[in-house]
Amino acid sequence: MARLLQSVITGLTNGGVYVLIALAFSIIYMTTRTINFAQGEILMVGSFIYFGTAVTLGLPWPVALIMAAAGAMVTGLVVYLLALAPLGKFDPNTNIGWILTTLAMSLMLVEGFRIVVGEDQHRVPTPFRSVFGRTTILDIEPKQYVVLIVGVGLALGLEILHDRTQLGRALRATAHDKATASLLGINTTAMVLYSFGLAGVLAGIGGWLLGPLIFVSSNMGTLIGLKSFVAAVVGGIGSTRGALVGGLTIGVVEQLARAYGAGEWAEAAVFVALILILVLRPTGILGEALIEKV
Amino acid sequence: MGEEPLDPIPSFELPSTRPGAAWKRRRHDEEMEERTEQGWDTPINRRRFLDLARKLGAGAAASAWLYPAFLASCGRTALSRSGRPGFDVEGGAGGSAAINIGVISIYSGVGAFVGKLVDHGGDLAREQINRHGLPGANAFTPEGFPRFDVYQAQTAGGILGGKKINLIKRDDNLSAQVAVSAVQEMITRYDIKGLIFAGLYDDIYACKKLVQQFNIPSIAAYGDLYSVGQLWPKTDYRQLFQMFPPDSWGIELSLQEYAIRDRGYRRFAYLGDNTAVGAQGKRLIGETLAREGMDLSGAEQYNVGDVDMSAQLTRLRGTKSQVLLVWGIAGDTAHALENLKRLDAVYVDRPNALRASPWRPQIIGFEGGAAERTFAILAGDAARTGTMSYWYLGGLGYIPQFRAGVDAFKKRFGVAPTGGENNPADAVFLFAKAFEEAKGTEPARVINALETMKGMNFSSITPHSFTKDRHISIEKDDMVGITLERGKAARTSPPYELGTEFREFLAPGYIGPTQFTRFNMEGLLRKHPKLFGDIMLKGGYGTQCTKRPDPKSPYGFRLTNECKIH
Repeated sequence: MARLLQSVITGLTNGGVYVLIALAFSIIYMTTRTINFAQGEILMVGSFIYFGTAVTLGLPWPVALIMAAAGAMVTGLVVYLLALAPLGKFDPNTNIGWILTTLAMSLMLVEGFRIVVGEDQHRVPTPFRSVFGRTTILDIEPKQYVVLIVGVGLALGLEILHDRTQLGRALRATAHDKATASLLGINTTAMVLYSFGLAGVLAGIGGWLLGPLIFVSSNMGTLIGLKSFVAAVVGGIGSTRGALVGGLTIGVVEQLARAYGAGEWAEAAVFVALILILVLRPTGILGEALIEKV
Repeated sequence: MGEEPLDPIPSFELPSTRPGAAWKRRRHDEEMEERTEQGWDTPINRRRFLDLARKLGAGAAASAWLYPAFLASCGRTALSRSGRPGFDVEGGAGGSAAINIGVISIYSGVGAFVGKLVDHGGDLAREQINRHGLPGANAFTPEGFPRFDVYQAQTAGGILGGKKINLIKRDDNLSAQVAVSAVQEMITRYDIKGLIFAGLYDDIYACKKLVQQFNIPSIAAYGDLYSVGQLWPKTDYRQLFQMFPPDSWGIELSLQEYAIRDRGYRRFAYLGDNTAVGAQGKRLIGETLAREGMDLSGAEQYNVGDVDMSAQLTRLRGTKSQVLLVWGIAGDTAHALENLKRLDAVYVDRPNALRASPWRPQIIGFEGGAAERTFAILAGDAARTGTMSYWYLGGLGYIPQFRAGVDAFKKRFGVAPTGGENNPADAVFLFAKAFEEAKGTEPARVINALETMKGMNFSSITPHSFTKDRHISIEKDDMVGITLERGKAARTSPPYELGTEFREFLAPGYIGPTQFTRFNMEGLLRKHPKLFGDIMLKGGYGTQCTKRPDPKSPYGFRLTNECKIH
């Protein structure tokens, strides 16, 4: 029982990062109906900025965090401007050029960082070394709990923001029907930029959280991005609550596979879970079928 | 009542006769939508195409012009970057006057540190040989140590009458299939005359047919076929020569000689990666334990690049093993130890490891993992003094006889060598010397030259040499233990002193692996009486715990196993 409990808690803490990046996927999907496949790499950019400012320059971690989030936000906007904006107005269901352009941005970011910064892995110290004088609780370090707390906190915060504010209503209106929202006076371009910027901020925070857990390197975001995409789909892409549920589910499934199966099957288990959930519930756990007028 | 007339539309809401850019854009979007509906997704006319092409051309030209400036701002040059793995040739001396040697290594992902070692060692050797040629007889002391000043004064660069060496570097992307494709390209496009394996073990197996078909002389700078009986003359892989210390010898040394006989451990658990490194290590560990009438108490696996191994380690904790054998590369080993730290199970000392409750096993790791400085840096305080591994008496940069080489390295790369760079450097040197002795690059003659060449200390203390029936360049007596030291001696009773290199050569607080020779002293003295006895042992280099005065011993002291840490 203790092993199960520990596996679930570890899985939830691992899932915190998936939640953040799945949220980023979902927010972008809401406004553009596209997936930004460079999202994992934007996380990598955030991690490197945090490493550069906190470790190399020695700035206080809150400053480094703000810079990481800001840098990732700018990267997110750049990805939009280079990968999606040039495509103009298009139907993402029929014109799938955006898949290639966002994937291209992903590769360019990885290779760019590899060339400029190098292939080395870098260790990033955590600001959260102990809590109440303890370095671990249930064999889990404070830095892991922080991932879960921040991930869930941001998901709930965004849910409230999008549910109860004018900005959230504008975003949802844009997601529901961009043309009509535009006619109602909503600046849909601003909404799209907002979604890419916010997704970048989330990835930057994810990079800050992930740096001390895995080493910072140019390819650190690829697998995280892929698993987070799975989490977004499992939870129901386009839904904040879905990203939360999907991210935590994937984290727990992965950890349970490690605990009760063979260690090397953990990643395969994530994709098996994806297939099973999509077979049973094609729109994801909390996803709703999209009904379009024809 | 009729309908009220509509207000006229204000003129400013009507499109002007000269539409603005926003309006044009909207028109364009609408056109795109219409064309999409009609099945045309690219509504672009000739004029627009030419306009776009002009902009793209200008952009490309500007990028090409700005690229060197961009790189220079990052402290690099376009020339140095052009030779990145997967892009181009390293060497800057192409054409018919150059001899190409292929290098397959790990340049990306968790194993990227391996590629860096290969780059550093291989490039320095290539540059030195291209500039100064092969070292002449007077470039060595009577004891066989290099005289760098004499070598660097040589002016006849290159080999075979001035031909330069090029290194064609490719990334295996942690996939043997990628390695095969890369080697195919090296053969067909670059006509390589030699091949250096410095990546996954699996690469060497996967490329066997190709290497045999084209009869490419190959050196495994990193990679072990000896331990599994796949080296010539046991198989038909005559093209392959191995410089890498075999896992079987290393496991014998670190597990049998050290852990079982020296430390008295009896329970062992294994955690290894999912590559040939892990599989081979697990099998050899099992065989070594079986010879001692023991068995692994538990065995777990992880995928290369995994971060969370807490579940596997939690299961292994239940075995109450006194030693945890971690078989993977540096980054993964670091993650394993961080996970171990989370379980509050980091190694303290032998008495704690023997008690096994609470679980604090001593760590013995793979040479490409726990013997790497990268591991110590990444693992931080989870990497404890006494973490054990193995290597061979190779590039001891800190002894006075090799310091000029280290200085040249620092001058070239701006960093000190971290260990292991000597293997790719010596592989380049061995090929250069073999080409010279074969008077050309004809494969059969080069292979023959490698088999008959006298060993020289180019960048290693152990001179690498092969024979017709021994395609491994080192001997069992060259093997040494490697242990981690954290800059200051851990407090033990009786106390031990850090090696001289920590006082004389390494920066204060240096954390990293160093030689640990106590349990292979006889062999080392037999093979390297001058180097090991008079220089290392007498000079106090490497970990020498615990030193007890003994007038009967050749150097007036003996090393005992009283030390609780290692």
